Amino acid sequence: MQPPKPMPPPMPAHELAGLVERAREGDVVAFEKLIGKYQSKVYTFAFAFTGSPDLAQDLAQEALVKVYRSLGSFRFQSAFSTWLYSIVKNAYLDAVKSRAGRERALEEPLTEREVAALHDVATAEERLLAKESRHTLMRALRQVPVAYRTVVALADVQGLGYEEIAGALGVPVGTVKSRLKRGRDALKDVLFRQRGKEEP
Amino acid sequence: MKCADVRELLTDVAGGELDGARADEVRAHATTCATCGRELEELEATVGLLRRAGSEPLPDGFSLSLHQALVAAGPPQRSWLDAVRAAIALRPVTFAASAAALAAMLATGGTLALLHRAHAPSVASYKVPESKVALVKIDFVAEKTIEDVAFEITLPDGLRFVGGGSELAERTFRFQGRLAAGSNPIPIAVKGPRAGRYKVIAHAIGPALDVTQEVVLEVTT
Repeated sequence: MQPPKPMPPPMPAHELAGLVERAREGDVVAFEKLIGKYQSKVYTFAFAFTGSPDLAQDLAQEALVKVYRSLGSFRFQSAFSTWLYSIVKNAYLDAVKSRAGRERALEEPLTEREVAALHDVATAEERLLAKESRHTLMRALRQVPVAYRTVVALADVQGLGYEEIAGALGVPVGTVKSRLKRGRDALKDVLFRQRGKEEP
Repeated sequence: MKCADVRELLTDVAGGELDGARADEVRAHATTCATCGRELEELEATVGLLRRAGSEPLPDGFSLSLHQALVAAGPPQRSWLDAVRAAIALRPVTFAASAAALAAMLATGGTLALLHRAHAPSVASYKVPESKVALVKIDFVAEKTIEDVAFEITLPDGLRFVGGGSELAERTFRFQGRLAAGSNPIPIAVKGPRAGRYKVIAHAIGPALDVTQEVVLEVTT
């Protein structure tokens, strides 16, 4: 079992403060430097929400624009990454609540062949999933209720700790733990029970 | 351990959050109980898949497209607190013992009525539809400049500050500033999810100064 991937080390405080100040004044380049190491993570998080590369691109960009526009509310009382994830999470939840989001949630259930392929990958030794397997896994994750999916994506895909997830979501650590348990159980059922039902 | 106890811990064992003797107990049980053993195996496979997913590479053109979207979006919005600090810092001076509590507007539309205006401590009332965001201005009118004023704004249970489009956890904001001669409106964005009458209290405390403002916000259905 691989441990969760560690988060990159935080930016030195003076550098962070300088970039935030410049970005607040409308310096887009400073903002891009500020979020440089988070872009891929935000995109992956969006992928876990949408299960689609194209939708994830739109959603990740929309979320990062909201982060930029909301910089005035960042008051250095929490880690920048915690604050960033809280804004991103809200942007994603807004998208999920939209009519289009609800309709997309009903699309493209996994086929038995795709689930079987993931089972094969689950027992293989390679360190990282191939692109196709990753995309199938993200589509499977979309079948997990959004509250649990958020925590699973932050904990197991993004590698955030309980405390940071609790800060980003604005919920107690105990709630994070229970949602993580339920989310993993729900995904496990998608991957294993669903296959069982389809078998003759 | 019984199966029911083990199942509560399976996900923690699969995720590596539980180790040591307790995890050993769970694993020992899983080797003798086919059902729990299968559950653990499936959970470990599930968590393993997630952790091996890795970061999705950014699509071609993502950064350029994001840059264009950021430029088009315009500079960040200033938080109400920053706006207040800037407004107070830029103004000239004097404080009157009387203070009027004030004008308001709705950020999201709806009805709003200024029902009452009074002198210190002054009370103004606003009506705002449930779940809408209201921008309420609390005004301290000063006759001369007063430096080193400590401001404190407190919301009652049931109201939340709104900043950056999100509800904030803080119930009280404190900041240092100065009062300029004339009107010193302090705008706050608040939201009330349930109908009722709520009293917002603002204090300004400084040299020879201790003024309280009250604003009643009526959240209507």
